[in-house]
Amino acid sequence: MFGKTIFKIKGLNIEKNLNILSKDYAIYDIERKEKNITTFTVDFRYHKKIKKALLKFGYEIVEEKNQGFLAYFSKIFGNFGVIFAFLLAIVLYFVQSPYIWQYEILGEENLSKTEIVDFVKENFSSNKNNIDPSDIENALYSNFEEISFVSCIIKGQTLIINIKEKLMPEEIYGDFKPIYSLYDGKVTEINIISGTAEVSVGDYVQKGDILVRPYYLDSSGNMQQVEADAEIKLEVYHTAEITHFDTRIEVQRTGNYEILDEVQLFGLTIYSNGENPNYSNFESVVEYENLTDNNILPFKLKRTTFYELQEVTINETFEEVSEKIIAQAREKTLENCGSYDTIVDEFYTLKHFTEATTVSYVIVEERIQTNN
Amino acid sequence: MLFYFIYYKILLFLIVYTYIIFEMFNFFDEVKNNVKELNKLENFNIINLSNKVIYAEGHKGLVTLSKELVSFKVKGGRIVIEGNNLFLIELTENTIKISGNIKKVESF
Repeated sequence: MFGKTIFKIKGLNIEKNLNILSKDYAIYDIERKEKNITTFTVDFRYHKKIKKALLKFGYEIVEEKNQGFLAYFSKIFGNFGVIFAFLLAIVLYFVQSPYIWQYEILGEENLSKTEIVDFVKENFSSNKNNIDPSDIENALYSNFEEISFVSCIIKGQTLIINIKEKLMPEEIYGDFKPIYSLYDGKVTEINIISGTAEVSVGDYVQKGDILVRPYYLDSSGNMQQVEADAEIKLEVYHTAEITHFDTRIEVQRTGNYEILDEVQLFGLTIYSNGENPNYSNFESVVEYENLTDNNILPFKLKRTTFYELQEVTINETFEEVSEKIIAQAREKTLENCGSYDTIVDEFYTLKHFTEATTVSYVIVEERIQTNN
Repeated sequence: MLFYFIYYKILLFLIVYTYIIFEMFNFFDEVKNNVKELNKLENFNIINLSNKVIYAEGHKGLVTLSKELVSFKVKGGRIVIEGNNLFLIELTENTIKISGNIKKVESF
């Protein structure tokens, strides 16, 4: 038996009706649990007919259990959703099967895959029945002069194009873009590999200026395009200024401070151990600390430290702190430099005003500009 | 491997089937073999296996079914079986198989 159905029915006079059923179907494991409750097992293949007969006899079917291989498959294929999905999948499969969904290009080096795929898509149908691979081969060979050999096959729903390119000079694949200056500075050396120099040694250039153009003039005076390639050394100037005032007012911490702790939940203060201090001038530093490790009740401790401030008048001549101010100006200038190794010169100038001195620091850096 | 397994299964089935066709015999026919009043023995056949299983051929319909008592009609009378935890293992048009602790089998 591939499957069986266990019926639990409620009703009287079961013997008579079992006799009727047994004339057509074999019945197994008949057990009378109570006076009006009986269970029995039948072959799954006949369970619908037996159920119909039981209902006709007037029995109430308390329980119906299907078991076995046949019952399992009947349950699956009896589901309209599964049947619909299965049929839809078959229909979709047959609808999409004649079409090419994937293009595979092999052997390309200088040509781009996208270019070839776009050409094939534009000029040929995606229906496998309407295209001949030899036509694609001929069209590709005719339209792409870089191709020396091409073969096409359709495998499943993939069009495989295998190409062999001609050996072409590298120059024809160049971008032909000029070399632009990346820095503000002075040209100190030019080594042209290909192209025409737009600047000469000693010229000052700005960032974005053209240094080398991507062409050369041949013996006939005609312009020939080439890839611009050169190595150009530039002196790049980095400057920074710091002004020192002999008399100035600075705000300093007095050393007095107060701490305010607050316990917060979702940004709301639940507990606080004090109030803001009565300092006339102060600055505050806030720190947060998680009191719990979970995210259900994320209690946080907000600790605010108030530092009392006072204004202090400082009288200090430039001569007293000149080394310190110059060092600060140098540090500020170095922030713009790429590397210490490329620094070739550095100097500073002083401008004196009434009760003020400005330090201008200059660092000269050597940078090498190429087409990369 | 699977092929040989299926092949041997089919071969075994054919051997058993051939044996059943040519050598099958009926147990009840063998029992009746030397009995003189053979014509009176065609109504029904019952065997009792260790008071645990009753197998009957030629029943004419179930009459009573309960855990303590099972009765069914036969040609010319009725068979009553008493016991504990009785239930029907199988019920077909003319055979019945009863299981349980059988205490008494009576014919009326």
